[in-house]
Amino acid sequence: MDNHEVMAKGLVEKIGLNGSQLKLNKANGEKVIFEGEIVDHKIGIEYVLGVLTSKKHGCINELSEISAVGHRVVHGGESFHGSVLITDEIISELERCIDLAPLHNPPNIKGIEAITELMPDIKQVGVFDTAFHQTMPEHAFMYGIPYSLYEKYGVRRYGFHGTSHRYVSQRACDILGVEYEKKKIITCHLGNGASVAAINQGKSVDTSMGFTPIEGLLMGTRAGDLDIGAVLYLMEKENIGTQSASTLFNKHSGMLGVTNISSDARDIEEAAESGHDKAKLAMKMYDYRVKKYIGSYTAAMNGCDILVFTGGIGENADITREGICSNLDWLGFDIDDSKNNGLRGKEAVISTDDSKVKIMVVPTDEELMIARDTEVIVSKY
Amino acid sequence: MNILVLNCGSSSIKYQLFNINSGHKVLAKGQVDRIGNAGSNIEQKVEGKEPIEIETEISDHVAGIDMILKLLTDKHQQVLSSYDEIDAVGHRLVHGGESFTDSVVVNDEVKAKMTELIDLAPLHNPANIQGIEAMERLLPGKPQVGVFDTAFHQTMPEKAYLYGIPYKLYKKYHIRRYGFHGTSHQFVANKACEQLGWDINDKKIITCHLGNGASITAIKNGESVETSMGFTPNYGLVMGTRSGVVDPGIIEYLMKREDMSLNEVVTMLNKKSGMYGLSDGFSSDMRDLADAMIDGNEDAERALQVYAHRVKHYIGAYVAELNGVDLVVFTGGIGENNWKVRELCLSNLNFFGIELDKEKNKGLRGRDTTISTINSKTEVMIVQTDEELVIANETFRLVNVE
Repeated sequence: MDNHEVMAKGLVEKIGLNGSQLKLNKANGEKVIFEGEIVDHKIGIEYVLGVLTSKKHGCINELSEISAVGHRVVHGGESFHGSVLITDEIISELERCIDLAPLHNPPNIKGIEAITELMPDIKQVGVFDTAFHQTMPEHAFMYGIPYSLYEKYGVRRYGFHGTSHRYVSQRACDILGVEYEKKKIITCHLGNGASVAAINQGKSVDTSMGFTPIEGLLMGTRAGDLDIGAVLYLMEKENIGTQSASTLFNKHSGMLGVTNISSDARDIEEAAESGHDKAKLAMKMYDYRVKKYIGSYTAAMNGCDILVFTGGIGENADITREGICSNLDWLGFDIDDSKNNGLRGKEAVISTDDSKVKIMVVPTDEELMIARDTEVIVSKY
Repeated sequence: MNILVLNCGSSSIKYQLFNINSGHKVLAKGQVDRIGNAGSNIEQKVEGKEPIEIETEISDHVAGIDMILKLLTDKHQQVLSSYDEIDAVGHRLVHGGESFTDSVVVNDEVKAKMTELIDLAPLHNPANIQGIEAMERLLPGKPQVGVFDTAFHQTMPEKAYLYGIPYKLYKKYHIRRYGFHGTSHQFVANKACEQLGWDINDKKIITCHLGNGASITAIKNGESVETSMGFTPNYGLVMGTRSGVVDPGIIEYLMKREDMSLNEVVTMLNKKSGMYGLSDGFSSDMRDLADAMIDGNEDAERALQVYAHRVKHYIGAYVAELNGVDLVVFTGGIGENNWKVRELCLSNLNFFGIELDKEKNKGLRGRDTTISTINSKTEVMIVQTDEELVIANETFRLVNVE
């Protein structure tokens, strides 16, 4: 897979809603939109396969040219420590994990089932967001709650974005030409959802998202770390139930909640530049939380060799990277403004030559990681 | 000058009587327990005398404080000959919200503010107010001073005290991080600097108050810039029975799976969690847990490892925020006395310039001393906290100004 090309990519959106459509990006850069009544995931995948094999917009002649299908699966609970070939047993195991990811695992399973129906003999591989973090030690994944609740229901920290943290940490070591298994790495996946991971000798040892993706950093619309007492207080004051509270903390909080402008980092950056107080505040809060996690993980690993920024914000927002890394020289983080300023979406080292810690930007590529894992796994069977 | 320091809890009152002129001598100290319940009692210790314990009906805080004053003036106890010998009263007040950034002389306005803040500390502030009002009745005309747990942390910057929730909810309900144990953090940071001959105003300090409740504070130029407790005292570190940080997403999940109400989940996170919960019900007491861990008990080991990891997280986070650290202070019942916990929390932090002298630390308890190695870039100290003494001093300071 080291030599690879993307033949086509795209997105089916608004499944089951008005205005459902498939957006295709062809290898030649052409973009095409197909509107249609896409009522469920199976029809969505039929659209995808149809477009891929279409005479006009396709990139293959027939479905048999697809050798394998790789799926991103959100939650693998404690059952999956790596990517797996999908079998009936795996599907039942995924069903057992629904409880932990009621919004995400069901569509993941639907996608697998649709492929099974449409391409009965094809090999499918599941690549989990949680798997990379399964190496976390007990002291990092346990909450301070009754142990019986962990044993009974698996209430613990799982972490997410594992595929991205794994990809960018490995890629960073490749770029630097250093041994992955010997380094202490902190990866900041800063997108609309955001998490930080500590990777010691190639293994995730800590991460900021928890039992759900709400914990940790301030995000576009998610609150991140929050005192449970504050949750209770707010629910009583506003007279709302758990579902409304969950919507509040997931959809109306974070950068959007603080600024009341937007959840989009670009809009907020723009507003801050034109002097909007809350936008400035939100950016400070954002940077500050990331900085604290960097400190925490440097402590947890007793050091850090490489700091990686990725995700839409991490890859593109020089001002955020600067805000996070400023005044961290005591810990050996020394960002080079001349390298950082204006750098967008490109692999690069952005620390000074003297910086003890290498600070890098590595654009993530979860799809490539899924394709690689899929190739490795199907070649074994 | 004699100053009575009171710490009124919901069903208990702790007290100490100081004589400021004789080098802050503690003339008597004691505790009223189980107020309003069966078996209510008072216990008093006076130097050179047998401790005394009386079980009697104590129906409310006025009755409790009445008992305290009676016992202090009891002729066998020989502490005071009349109520009049008490010159001022200092109260530990838990929650001063955003209204109090320093200690205050209590007046009607202060009481009104405290009443407004009951919502933020429904268990503590009412008891504090009852204590103040009882004193007004029993010692009319004597000055009273309030010293707040939250006041020291009011210097935190906005980026540190705000949660990532809609800003209008902060404005409307004052939902933000307040932090607690401020009196203790401030006291031990100052005391450590005094002992080292340092000027606190150019130092970066991290204070770890590890008791049954526990919090860590980052102090820069003598001011609190960040602390681990939040809107409530159940945030941050793992504590005896409190969970500390959890994913807010677990609330809804547990309510559904365990068929619990919201309040039951929150109670569980406050009373059945923490070290007690993590050790699978083995103990909430650090002494028991540390001994059991040394004997190979896995439940105890798990709980202590989680505890230490969380402490490390905060030390790391605050070193990042301060961009360095000159001094780490351990205080509180656990921080002062439990060497094993200190060892676990400070292991493998040499990247931060923190090097514990393991030999010196081992077995050490209840003494103000440095426990880092000579080569450690960061000084690590144990400092015994004394919140009552701070309250007595604050009371003395403010009463004299008046």
